[in-house]
Amino acid sequence: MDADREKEGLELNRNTKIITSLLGIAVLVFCVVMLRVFMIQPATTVKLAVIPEGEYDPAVWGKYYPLEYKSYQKNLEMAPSPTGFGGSEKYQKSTKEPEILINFKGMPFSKDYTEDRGHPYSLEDIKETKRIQPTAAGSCITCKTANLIDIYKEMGWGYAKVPIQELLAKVKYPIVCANCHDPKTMNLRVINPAFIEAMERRGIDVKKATREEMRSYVCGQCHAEYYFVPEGKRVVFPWDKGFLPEQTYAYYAGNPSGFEQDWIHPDSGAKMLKAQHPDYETWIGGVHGRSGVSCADCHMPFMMEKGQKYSSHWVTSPMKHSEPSCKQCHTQDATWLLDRVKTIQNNVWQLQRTAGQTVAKAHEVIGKASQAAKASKADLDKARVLIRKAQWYWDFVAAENSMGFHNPDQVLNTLGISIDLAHQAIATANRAAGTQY
Amino acid sequence: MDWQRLFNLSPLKLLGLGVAAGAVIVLLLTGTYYASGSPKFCASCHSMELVYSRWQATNHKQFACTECHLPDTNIVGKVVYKARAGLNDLVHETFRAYTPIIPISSNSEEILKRNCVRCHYSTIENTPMARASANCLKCHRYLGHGRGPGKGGIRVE
Repeated sequence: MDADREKEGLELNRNTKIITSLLGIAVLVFCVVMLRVFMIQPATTVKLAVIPEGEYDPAVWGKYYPLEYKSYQKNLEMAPSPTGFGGSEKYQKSTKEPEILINFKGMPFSKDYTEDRGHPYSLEDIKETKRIQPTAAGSCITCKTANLIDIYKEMGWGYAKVPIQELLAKVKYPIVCANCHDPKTMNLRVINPAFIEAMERRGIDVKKATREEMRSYVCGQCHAEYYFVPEGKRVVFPWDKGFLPEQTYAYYAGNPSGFEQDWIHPDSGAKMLKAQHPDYETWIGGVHGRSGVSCADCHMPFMMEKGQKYSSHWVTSPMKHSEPSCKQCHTQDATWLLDRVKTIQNNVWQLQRTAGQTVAKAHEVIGKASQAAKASKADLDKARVLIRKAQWYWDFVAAENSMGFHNPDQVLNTLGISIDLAHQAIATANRAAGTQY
Repeated sequence: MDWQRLFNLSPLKLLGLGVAAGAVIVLLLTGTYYASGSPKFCASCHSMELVYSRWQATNHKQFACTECHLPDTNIVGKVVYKARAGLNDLVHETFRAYTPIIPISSNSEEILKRNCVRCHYSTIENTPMARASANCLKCHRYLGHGRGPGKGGIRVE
């Protein structure tokens, strides 16, 4: 009897132990969950760090802003864009668009014209490109480095005519945090004097800009069309008459500061202009730009890591992360959104090729027509003006980085005009020489 | 504990004890149900900060989250849904596994739709919108939660 009772007691004892330990674990889990959910929440603010002005090393900034830095480092990744256009892999664009070789004949873009890579590669790529000789103007350094801040402070626009090789020796960092952020306040800032001056001429003081405006200005300070003033090589944005291709063309028609052309095409003999990535100009009139959606809204969306919100500094095709980029406003799923962007870009690509090829043919026809003995010089000159304009319209789209997405309707209109002008150029050249090319 | 002693009590006392215990349990559960249905409670989760502040910017701010987000069923259906959704939230919140924008599932969208109609039926009963397939949120997506930057951004201090 006693033995039985003892056995029962032991068994009871063991059951109690099991129940107690299970209960203990449950209480512990409960406490951890409650603590993490209600007591210790992720920070909603970022502590401002003391980074001295003149510190350009992104790794130093990264110590205080680790999530932003980690996403900036992703700019080193080279990957194609999910839409099939753009992306950050370096390849010669002429392999996909051979008309580039004809349209830029006689100027450096026919020698080397690659798809652009991420911000951390800006210095490496400018040193590698065959477009720039060691004696080239120092103005090329303007958008490639944070060290511009000191260079401009020291020399003003004087740096623009210093040979680039001399400047490259002074320059250490590519496009980094300091290009867009004030280290003391982390507020956004612009450092490119050409942008500040162009905005001034448009009656805008960038120092008074709101944070929302700055979220596009920091990008627009470089992702824009520009030219070098022949005397002194200063960088100027041609924005005085507006941002549209016809407005910038009209601005150049006035030979600003004696600037007439970028080069003379060897086949057609036309005075040509080269467009450079008018991303800001294209975006600003598009449906996103007009609705107040800034560059950063899509290209630097809010991300979340372990409950900590941060702004992505991986500046790339938003289609690589359409969820945070598009879904702030659009409710459709990722496949639908990607399909929409692909449709726009495919349409633009088709017309961009047609425009580029028609322009290429026009160069050839004007070249042949001008060989004819009795060709009318007045008509040939008219054809040359037409092709200058046709190529400007094509290039305004081709040199832009969104394959039309930044402003689909405007871009398709621009390409349509380009194709028409190129055909007019061909017809005018044929009329001049009585030929039928 | 010696449970035997509990059953040695007189039936009347036992009944009294039972009623008291039942009342306490019911009070506790009801209290929990209502407290955990208050917008303040929903907003105590870090991931809900943005939607909470955007909800406060709309003319539906007089209605609690649960008015729209709990299914329009009897109490059992509501409690079961709440327990399931709450557990889901608890797991995500504990592991900090949430995105800045939390997309709505098709199931919750269905629940929302029915709740819109629950109040607004008389407005739409003679229109094609009264059909079950009509999706109110497709057009009226900012009625429950406003737009624009809400609380919980990245502020530098």
